Amino acid sequence: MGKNDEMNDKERFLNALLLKEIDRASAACPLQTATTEMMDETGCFWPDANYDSKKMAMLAEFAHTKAGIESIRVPFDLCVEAEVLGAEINQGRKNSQPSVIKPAIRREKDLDVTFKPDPKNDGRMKTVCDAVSILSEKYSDVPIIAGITGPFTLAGQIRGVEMLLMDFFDNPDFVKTLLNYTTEVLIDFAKALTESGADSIIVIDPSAGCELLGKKHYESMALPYCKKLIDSIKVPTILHICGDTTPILEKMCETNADAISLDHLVDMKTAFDTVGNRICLIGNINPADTLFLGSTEDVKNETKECIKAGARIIAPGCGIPTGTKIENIKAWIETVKEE
Amino acid sequence: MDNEELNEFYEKMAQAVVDGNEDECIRLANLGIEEQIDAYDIIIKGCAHGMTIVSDLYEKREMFVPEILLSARAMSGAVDILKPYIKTDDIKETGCVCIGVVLGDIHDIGKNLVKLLLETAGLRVIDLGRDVPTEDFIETVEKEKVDIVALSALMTTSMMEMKETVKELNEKYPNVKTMVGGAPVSKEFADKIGADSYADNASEAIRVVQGLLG
Repeated sequence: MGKNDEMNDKERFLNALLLKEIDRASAACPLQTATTEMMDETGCFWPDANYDSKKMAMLAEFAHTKAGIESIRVPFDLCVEAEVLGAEINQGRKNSQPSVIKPAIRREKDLDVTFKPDPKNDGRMKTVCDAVSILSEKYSDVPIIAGITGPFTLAGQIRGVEMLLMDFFDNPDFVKTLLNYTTEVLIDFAKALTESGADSIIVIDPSAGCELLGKKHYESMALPYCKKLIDSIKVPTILHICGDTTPILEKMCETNADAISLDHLVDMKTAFDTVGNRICLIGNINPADTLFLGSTEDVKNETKECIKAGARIIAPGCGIPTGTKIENIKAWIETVKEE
Repeated sequence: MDNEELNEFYEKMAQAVVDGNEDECIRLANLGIEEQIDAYDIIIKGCAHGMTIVSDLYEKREMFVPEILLSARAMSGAVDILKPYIKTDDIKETGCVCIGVVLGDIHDIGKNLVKLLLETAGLRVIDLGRDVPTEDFIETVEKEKVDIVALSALMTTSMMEMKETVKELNEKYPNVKTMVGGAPVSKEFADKIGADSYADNASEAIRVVQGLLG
């Protein structure tokens, strides 16, 4: 706790999410937090740290203990569920996240809706659950945030996004079956993460972004499934969609998420004027221009702007770029504490 | 067909592309061959024109990626039929672009759209795919006559790679232009990493390329 703080990081974060009173804005980070500098200092490197719960926990907590981020967040990538569902994954390197290289469902009949992974025992779902357990046992006053993929994005990963969008015209019933399936899988995963001690779940649905789907398709292909998932989650939830989501902000509120995390492309003030009275807004420091390539002064100024525009949790608009210097992260955190 | 009928025919093809109507595109392509209309003209004045309308609609947010993919598929349906009938001396390539998604990033829908539009605009495109290491860009520039290297990234975590690739290209091949794009990339970022140009979306990318080729 800072010297003037009346709340610990967890109380402040949860109150911020639930639109309750806070002593100041929170500097939690619901998106990816690991940098290569942190990996060098902890000795926990990607890709190993993505596959080993102890290393995952160590690298994640370092963002809190050393850089001062007011939360601890796992995992570091967005392929955990796709991998368990059989998509082929490139494990990535020290400075790159794992990524899906081959979808699992080439033909309609490849989809086996009876296969339901057991998140506490299967693949990297287990790794993340275990990391959450380690962290939640160790930290009682710091929020542990777990990230999961959105139902639409996961469907795109296991089917291939372009194929999925074509199916939308060619075989709409199959799309519904697939989206219902990914939703069910994610409901189970979120439940396991919550039982492992996660204080909040962030659902990340980049493929559902406006640039790709537009508002109309968002309403039919992403929103209902995301809502069903979020309604099932017992802890406070955050929804993050990449890109300029200004046209779908109201729709994102309809998912019943407690908070929306905004990409830096969204104007925070506009977002606040649109939905700020009914939902907590998180964001949206420019991760590349400012956090990664900017000076500490740039970071301070943008942090202040986010606070002024109405964000209750000040965080980057996307995952932290791996090349980001810890001093820039500190500049963001310190500015939030001072304001 | 007289000129008026011909223009009407191109217009129909363009509309079929905009509508994403693959069956209609194929029907028109076959009809065009039967009527002995120049295959290259059908592609440029019909199909490519249709794709230009599509990219304008995308820019105005009146059309989104699912419909664009449908249009692209419809267009390919026509182009596949017309290709064998193109007279080789028709093809005037105005420049060569080497395109790829940087190392650590596999998101290639944006890159594919840019590629498609560049090709329909008559450029030669060398597509290195996704997750492309710097060496592969360098090697291509070494071997081929490349005017522009276009780099795409979608994840903030892969932006460090983009910086490295641009740096190395600038050092080794200062005459080859670099352009960058992708959701987290901005004009400011492009300037900071020393890229020659930045495009905010696929249709702007075409204008940027044409500008760079001057």
